[in-house]
Amino acid sequence: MDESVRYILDILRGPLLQGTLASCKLIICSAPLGLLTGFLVSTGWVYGNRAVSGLCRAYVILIKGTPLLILLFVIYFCLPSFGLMLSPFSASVLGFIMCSGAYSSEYIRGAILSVRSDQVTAARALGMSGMQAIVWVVLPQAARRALPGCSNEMIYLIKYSSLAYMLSFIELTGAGKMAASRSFRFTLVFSVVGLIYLGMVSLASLLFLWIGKKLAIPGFELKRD
Amino acid sequence: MEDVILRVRDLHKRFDSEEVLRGVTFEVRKGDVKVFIGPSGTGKSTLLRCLNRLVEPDSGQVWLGGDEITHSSDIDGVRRRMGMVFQNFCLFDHLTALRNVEIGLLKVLKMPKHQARELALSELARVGMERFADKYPAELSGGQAQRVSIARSLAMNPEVMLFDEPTSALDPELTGEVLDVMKLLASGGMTMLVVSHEMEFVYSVASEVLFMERGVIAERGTPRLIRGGTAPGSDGSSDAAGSFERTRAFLRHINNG
Repeated sequence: MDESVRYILDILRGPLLQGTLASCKLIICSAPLGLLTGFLVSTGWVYGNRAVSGLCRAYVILIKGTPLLILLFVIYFCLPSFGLMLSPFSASVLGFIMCSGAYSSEYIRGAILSVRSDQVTAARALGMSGMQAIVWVVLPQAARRALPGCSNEMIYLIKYSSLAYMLSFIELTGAGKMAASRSFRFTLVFSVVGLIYLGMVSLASLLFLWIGKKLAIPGFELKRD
Repeated sequence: MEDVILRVRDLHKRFDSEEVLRGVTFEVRKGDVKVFIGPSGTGKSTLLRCLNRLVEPDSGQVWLGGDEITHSSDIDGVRRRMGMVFQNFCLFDHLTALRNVEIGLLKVLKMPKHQARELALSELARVGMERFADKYPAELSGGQAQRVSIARSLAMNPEVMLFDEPTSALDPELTGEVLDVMKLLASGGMTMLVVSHEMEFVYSVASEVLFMERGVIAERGTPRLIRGGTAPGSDGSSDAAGSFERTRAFLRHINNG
């Protein structure tokens, strides 16, 4: 037992710490750009002209309809034949951005469509342009309604970041797999890895809860103290 | 006549197969309070919405001041000269009462922040809502929300105010506070077009009552004439005024309803 504890502390200080940092790097690079993509795709779908709207729609259908792993393989193995060579890290981040962007866009689009049309009518009656009504009235309301869904998507991102391992980018799961292969203590190592993911997800949940509280307004379905 | 603020000529609007406005013509002078009454579905709300082109009329013309606005390309510029109050208040749900009044000043009129705040507070005070400046729409009663929405329109310093059934979404005990604000505006000389069936209000402030039926102004006259007593036409009012038979029948109907 003593020996097991020493082993865990060893790998925690060594490969698992490196792996966790690598995972964090993946997540921190993908999450904001994923949200931004989601925002652009959803507004393009709702407000864009026929071409832009169709393009956004096609993007979402394509990404939602294919496994993320396939998307990563396409980016990593097929793009080089078109002259675009990406490192395992960049390929993973690009794949994660595209995936979380597609899913977030669905939450954001739903939120935009849920804003009552009389809110826009009132804005236009005050003399706001269509763009001003979107920026100052629709989006601030939509952001609050999209927050729970987008938070969920970011939490999924933490977990599917482990797929970067399939492109040989050594993040937490990969680091665990390598350590376990050396020591043959698969159960022990993967339990610890699982707990680290649980910790990261819990931290992210707390962060989003805090953001939700900051943005809370009576009349919107968010909790407020 | 230079004191005519709003001139409407032969306005038509069709929704699919239904012709909602079938040629509406009238003039509004500075300080007039014109009240539109009539059965639902006769185009009263559509008429107001055609004036600031929230609904585009099919044909006809509207002049605001000297400007023909039916074909104006700067519709946003026209709308900021006409305040509009809606049946369902339509306050911006994510903003406090104060921010609701402020936002048009900041974003549309590009007013400096401190000046917008000051003006917004004084407009809230004018409708008796300054104590609720930091409340969100969800925390206000219907009457309070409607007073804030009136303040929001007033702050833009409009040349004319349009009221689209401002009290019909309110519980009966809340209509009084809104009507009081409107009476105050009327007595202050505000030019107002109102769709309302609050007859006590209509009789006390209206300069003219226009009875609409099936997309046209069927009968029109001063409250005094409509209430009866004086024989129609004896004060030189137009023949269109007729005998107010239909207006009176309608009023009897809503009173019994």
